[in-house]
Amino acid sequence: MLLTAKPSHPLIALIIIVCCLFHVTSCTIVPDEEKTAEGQEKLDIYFVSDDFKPDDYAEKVWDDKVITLFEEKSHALEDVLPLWHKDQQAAGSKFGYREKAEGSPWNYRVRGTGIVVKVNTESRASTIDIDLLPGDNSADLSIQIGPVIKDSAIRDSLDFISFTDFTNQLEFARLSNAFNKLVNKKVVGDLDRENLMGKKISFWGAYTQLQDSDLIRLTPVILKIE
Amino acid sequence: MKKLLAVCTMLCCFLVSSVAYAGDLIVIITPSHDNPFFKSEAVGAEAKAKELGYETLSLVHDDDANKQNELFDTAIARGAKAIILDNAGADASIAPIQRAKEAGIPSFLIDREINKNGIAVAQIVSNNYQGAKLGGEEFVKLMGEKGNYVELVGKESDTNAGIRSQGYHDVIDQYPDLKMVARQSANWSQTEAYEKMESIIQANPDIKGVICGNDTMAMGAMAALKAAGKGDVIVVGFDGSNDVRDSILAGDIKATVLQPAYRIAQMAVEQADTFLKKGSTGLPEKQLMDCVLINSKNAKRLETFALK
Repeated sequence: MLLTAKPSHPLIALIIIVCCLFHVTSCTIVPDEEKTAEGQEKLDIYFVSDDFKPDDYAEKVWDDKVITLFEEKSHALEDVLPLWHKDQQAAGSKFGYREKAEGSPWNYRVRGTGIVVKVNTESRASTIDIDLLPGDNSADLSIQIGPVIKDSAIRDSLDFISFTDFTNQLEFARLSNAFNKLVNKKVVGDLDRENLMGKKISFWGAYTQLQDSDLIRLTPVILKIE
Repeated sequence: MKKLLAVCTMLCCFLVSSVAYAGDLIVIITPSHDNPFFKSEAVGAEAKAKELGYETLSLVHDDDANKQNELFDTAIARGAKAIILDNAGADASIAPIQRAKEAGIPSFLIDREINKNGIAVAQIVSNNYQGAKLGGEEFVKLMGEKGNYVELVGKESDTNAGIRSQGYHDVIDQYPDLKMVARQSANWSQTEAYEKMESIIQANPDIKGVICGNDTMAMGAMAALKAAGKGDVIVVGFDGSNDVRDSILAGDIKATVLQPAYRIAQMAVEQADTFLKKGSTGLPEKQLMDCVLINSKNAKRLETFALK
């Protein structure tokens, strides 16, 4: 329509041109990170709005609050393990954190040093298995190295975060994903994934008690490889 | 139907009004009991309230926000001490809950949340994101990580519909060989799911799986698939109803995710009781309850939204 319309007056034409120019220059191209690599269309999910910016939130608290909390308040995993394998409830009361009791699993902030005894990078939810020092040649835990990171262990182990502070479950889920994205970006992104076997590694991170399993599937916030 | 319901409601009011002086009143408002999930909530809340010495009045809003408004007026007029609510819309329910609060009646929300904090005393909801990821992971496994599938989404006014879809896709979209060929809302309804599934099958004869936002839609989808001679299509639901348990045991629906609906309703009444006696529940307002995956391995242990 607009293209075929012929303005009867040069001034009107000028105004239209200026408007068009302004319109074009006012556009900002925002890369859509939510799109998957396969180029799938972004899904329309009810109640997801752009007002809440989970990535900004996670980024803002990461260095000062998250890392600090893990550095200052995490348990040595070797102290947790004996009770953990005997009685998960008792281990939870002694070493774990959860915002409320009934219907919530325990979350643990732990640290430790060990040797990489297995590297699983076939799945997109890649992990490395660690034998804590002093070693006995059997794995004590798995560390998630992405790009797919399961659980909401980071979010749920932070004692300064409460579900009540967020509008709804959508926001709370997106916050967890934002933390997991930061783990990919800041913690495991630069790992030499294929050369980890046999390396000595120090870790700080969180894990959530899984249903009917005593597997420790840790999400790291700090990894130091020697 | 509506007339019948109105008469029933009036009759209920009348019956309760004749005994209301015997104890303090707790009003329980849920969606229609046609869905066993909501019935289980009402039954759980009633049982706990009676155990704690309260009178109860159980009402249904049929997912109609206007009707819910009227039910709140009834609760306020009848001087209820507390309201247990599975609401009729995350935004539309804010105003009536606020109105009850101003009238001195605290509300305790179950199953569905509202998009505002600080007006209900408690919002106890299933950890739908955690549950949907469990269901999604099981679906991926059942599908062998590939094939065409359909998603049936719940009611748009309910954040549970959004969060479950988000959880499913956060898992399923990691697998490029799983292709979604249709995604429609069937509004949590069994009959609607049946009808939508019928036409989806016609347009997409090569469906390998259907993932559903709740169990009633899974029942509807399964029935439509069987009617079309496609009983081997993988169907996964969400709720943990006895209907889907029986379907799993019969080899039809493959999995669902249990929400502890009965327990959540009881917890809401316990917290209402604590709040009325002590002025605080001692718990955060918003509380998540973890869900459990149900498949052929543990379906036998499922009874009325709880694992034995």
